[in-house]
Amino acid sequence: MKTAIPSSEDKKTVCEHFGRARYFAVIESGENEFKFIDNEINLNATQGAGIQTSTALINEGVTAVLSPHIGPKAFDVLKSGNVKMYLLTETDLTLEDALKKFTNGELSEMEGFKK
Amino acid sequence: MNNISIAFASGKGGTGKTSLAANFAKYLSQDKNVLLSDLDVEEPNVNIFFPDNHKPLKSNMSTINIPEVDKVKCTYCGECAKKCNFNAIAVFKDRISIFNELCKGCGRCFNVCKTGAIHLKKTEIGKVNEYSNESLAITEGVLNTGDIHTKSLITDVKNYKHCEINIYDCPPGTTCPMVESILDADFVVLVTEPTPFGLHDLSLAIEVVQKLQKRFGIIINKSNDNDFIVEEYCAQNGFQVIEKIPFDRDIAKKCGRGEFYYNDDSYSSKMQKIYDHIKGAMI
Amino acid sequence: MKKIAFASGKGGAGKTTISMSFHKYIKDVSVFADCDVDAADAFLLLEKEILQKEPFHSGFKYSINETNCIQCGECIASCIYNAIKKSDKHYIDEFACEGCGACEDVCQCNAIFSKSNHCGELFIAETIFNSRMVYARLVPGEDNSGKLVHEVKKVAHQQVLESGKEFLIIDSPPGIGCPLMAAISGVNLLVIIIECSQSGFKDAVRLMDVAGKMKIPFITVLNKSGLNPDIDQNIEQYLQAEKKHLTGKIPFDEEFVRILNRKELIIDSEILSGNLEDIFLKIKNIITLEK
Repeated sequence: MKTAIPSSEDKKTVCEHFGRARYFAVIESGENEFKFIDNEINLNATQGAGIQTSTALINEGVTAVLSPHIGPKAFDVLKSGNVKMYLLTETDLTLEDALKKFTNGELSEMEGFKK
Repeated sequence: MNNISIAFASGKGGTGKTSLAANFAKYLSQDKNVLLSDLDVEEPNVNIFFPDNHKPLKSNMSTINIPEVDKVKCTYCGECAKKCNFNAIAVFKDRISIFNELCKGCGRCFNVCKTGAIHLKKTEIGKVNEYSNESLAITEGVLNTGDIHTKSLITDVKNYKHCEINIYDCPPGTTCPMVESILDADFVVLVTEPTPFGLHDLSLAIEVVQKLQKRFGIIINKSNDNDFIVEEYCAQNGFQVIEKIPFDRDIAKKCGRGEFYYNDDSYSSKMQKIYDHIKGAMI
Repeated sequence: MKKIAFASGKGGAGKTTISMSFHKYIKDVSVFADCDVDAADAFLLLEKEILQKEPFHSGFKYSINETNCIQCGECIASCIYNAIKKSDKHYIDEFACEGCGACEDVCQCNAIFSKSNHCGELFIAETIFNSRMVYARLVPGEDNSGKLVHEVKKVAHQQVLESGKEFLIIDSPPGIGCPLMAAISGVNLLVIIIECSQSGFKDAVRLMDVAGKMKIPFITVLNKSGLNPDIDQNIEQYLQAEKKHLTGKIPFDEEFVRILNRKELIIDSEILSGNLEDIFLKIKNIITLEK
């Protein structure tokens, strides 16, 4: 399993905006260090940032995303790419704590948006 | 003077721009060939002034071209997604999805597809309805619920213009739809209220019309003891207040019920004065 | 830090008026972020002095490089927006250009180039009660976007950290689209202002649905109540049936308009402040309990 978390510029805390996160912290199960994917290209998008971020993560081989929020379009893309999405309900978490919550099974899967 | 377009706009909603545009159009239509176009396509309500016209004479579909993918021909090369500046196409592995609500119908994906897998399909975004009220023709754009192609529909409504005098009721605000509405207007009437917020919104609207180099004039609606708020600003900047429509309980009532006030004596002379001013500015 | 957003679904429901007053109520410990970028007007009442201003870019606009252009006109047909025009030379009308770039593909001589589109300015300002506010102003003709809201929020977040405050107050844009979601994403509490009208109720229900899906804790406040008792009753019954928390009611009062015309806040009004402070105290207590 390969897990991704939207990260702020500091590369330490979770970014609350999925499509406009500066980086994505990615980690394979079994490894203990994050690798960071640069997401700057989507920072400047007027619209559809979540969609393009999602395709980038899928192409990276990510299979699970932990995020405070994922918009309806990004949700659809990730779902069709068989990526599981888990909700971070607490704000201002560190990347480590977010991952810990996930490995401890404390996170629940996100629900979709009604069209 | 032939074929002029007069846009009624305001920096924000609630200034009474629609009722003013409707009354002005109705007044002029007494002896002229007039078209009133409702360009506030997300919330069209010019129609409340013409309750006899429940059914449009004609209802025309408004469309934009949205791509469709032939999955047999598609090689998932991702070129279309890369070129789409609106991020409306997602390509990954052996999947491609198109997000209609982000697509602006530009056709660039169709142009760049090397395998001919994309074709453009006319997709409805709303309707352009045509009505007539005695000598006054009316068109309105009605955007489909949830659709966001406001600008395309506004452009389409204006394709139906055909009269000696064309009056636009523009969407409120100073964002893209308002700009699109006044783009081809010969004269812009900015309707404002004498309040600090009204003045702020007016100053933004003036910024837009000046940038577009449009001729414009200001009407103070719901005029009262506070008119100086707007008048001082206009005097300082050399802008012209064409006319003032007083705040009057009867008028407010009439507007609320969708009734006209143009044929009341004092108001018909105001309508004439507005028209004379615009005519004068056109020369 | 705790983030609290005010939203209403519909414009004109009174959320800016109420959120500005809430900011004043906790002015010593909060920063105000005006994310209603289309109609940013909180600064009219709150701003004392601009501290910092920076340009903001979003999307693209295209232009023609006159040196490279051979005036062939190939690009004209590629533009479905009719933005490419000719006077003595070809040029692109920036107001009509949507930034799609189709013209760039057909140009044989590399004469068409894109530049990122300057769509507004972002401001950090000091308020009349010496707190900080962050807001943005769009260039006329530009639209608000999730990106711009995100930017305002990010800068405001930084201001809270730098000034050692406890709360970030967010005035959200109307609607339930991307700008709204960007504004309320990651907040600790959302206050939904329900205008007591048929359309106000309808829009608030859609907003509650979105907030529910996003798992954002929210409470509701009724505004302009008492005008149509039957509508008020409908709303209250709905909230009760759906087990949504109703924190308070603000009755319709012409004092509202008078206060605003004097450029004052409703919390400064002797007539309105009592009820409002009760509601604000409840909100403050609720957010203190939210994790």
